[in-house]
Amino acid sequence: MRAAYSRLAWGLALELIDIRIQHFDILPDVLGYLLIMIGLSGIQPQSKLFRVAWGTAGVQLLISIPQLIGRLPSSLSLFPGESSGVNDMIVSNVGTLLDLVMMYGICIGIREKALSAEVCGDLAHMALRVWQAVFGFGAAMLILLPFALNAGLVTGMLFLFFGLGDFIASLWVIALVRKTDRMFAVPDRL
Amino acid sequence: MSARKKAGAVYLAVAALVLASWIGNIFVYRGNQLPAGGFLRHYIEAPDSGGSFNLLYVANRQDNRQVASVFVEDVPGLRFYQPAIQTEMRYQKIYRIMAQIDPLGEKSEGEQDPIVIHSVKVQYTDGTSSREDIGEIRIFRQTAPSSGEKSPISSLSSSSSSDGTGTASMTVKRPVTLTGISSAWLPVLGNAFEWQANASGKKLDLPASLTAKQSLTVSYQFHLPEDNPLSMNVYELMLKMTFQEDSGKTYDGTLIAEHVPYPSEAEMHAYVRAQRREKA
Repeated sequence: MRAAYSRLAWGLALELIDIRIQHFDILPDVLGYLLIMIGLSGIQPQSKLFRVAWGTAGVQLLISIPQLIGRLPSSLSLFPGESSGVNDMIVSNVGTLLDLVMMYGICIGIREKALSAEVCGDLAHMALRVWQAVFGFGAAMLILLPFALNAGLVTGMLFLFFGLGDFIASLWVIALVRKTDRMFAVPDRL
Repeated sequence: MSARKKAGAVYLAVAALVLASWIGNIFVYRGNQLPAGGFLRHYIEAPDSGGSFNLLYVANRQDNRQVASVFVEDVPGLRFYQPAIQTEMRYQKIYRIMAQIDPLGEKSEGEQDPIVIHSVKVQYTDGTSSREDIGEIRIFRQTAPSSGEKSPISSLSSSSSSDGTGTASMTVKRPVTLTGISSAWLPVLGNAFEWQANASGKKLDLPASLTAKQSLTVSYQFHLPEDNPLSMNVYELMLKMTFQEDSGKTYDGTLIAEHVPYPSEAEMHAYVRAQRREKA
């Protein structure tokens, strides 16, 4: 079980961090989603929400393959004069929406697990707060993304602000998974 | 309201906002897209023998189909260079395609002078081709310039500015009469173009007699504010100044007056709306 949470945390980290050299992501999202799926498969029987997150990560994995080989856009220009086309926007919006569903499955799945354990009130509370932060910034990004079609400087600055918030909220999800790992610490070999 | 119902209401509200954001932004985006790329209207007079002019092509930023090459079948001496970006705007790009004119040679029988071009053949990067209207280009065979000993005037300097103004200064070498200043595009421009001739600081009414050593200045100004639909046209006028000596012999001098559009976003939006109406 511990390894499952660890893989889930590493997968989230890989999916979150993009280091690109000449447009090539040296930490591809494919690896991140694969680790998330492997991690969730170790814990998903416990909650239907984990199963939802597992399925969503699977769809994300499928989308990230053409992105890795450049068949689908993996990044957007959000500043004036570099506005992206409608198709790029749709791909990006679908990706953000799927990420939100996956995060919902992970955060609320952990909350349900914590509530059912009855001794983990703090963890359940944290899981709800993390989900609210992820949802708040994710929803703002979903609403703002179509503005990239008609991007102005103010929109670009708003994207930076909410994008940073989204990034920090995702780090918080990793912290939540690590905390869950510690609270339900049962070594694999047992 | 239970927490579950409250959360449901929030999700529904966000979904409605996302939908409204998409509909609104796509509506604005579509409204700012040209139905198809195309050339601006050009009204150009140009000399052959090394003369040149620019064609301006406007296309949506997201257009995959771009201009690969341009040519005019009937005028082989007219060579077009690769398009270069002149202006990048929020939704459109304006490309500049330079044309170089080789000497046209002697006029053959039945050939018109000047050569008038209304359209060009365009090949696109997607392999398609089409004939596109460009306005009207007039190419004049260059005659021997009225300079040196023969000419009664000598040119001193000329300047032009991006605000649509320009000036040419000359000195009169021997008595002569400035009989007129003409261009094919003066009737087209009407009040949008104004010229003035001054000699020794005084405004001239043509025809005007000039004495030796008098200084002559011809200045022009385009009056094409943003709200004038003509402001999106390209104008290049060869203002022909005609001088006549007492013997009746005439000499020509030329002053190039140019208007190149550098539209604001609002001006481009008005242009796009006009194009959409036209193609609807």
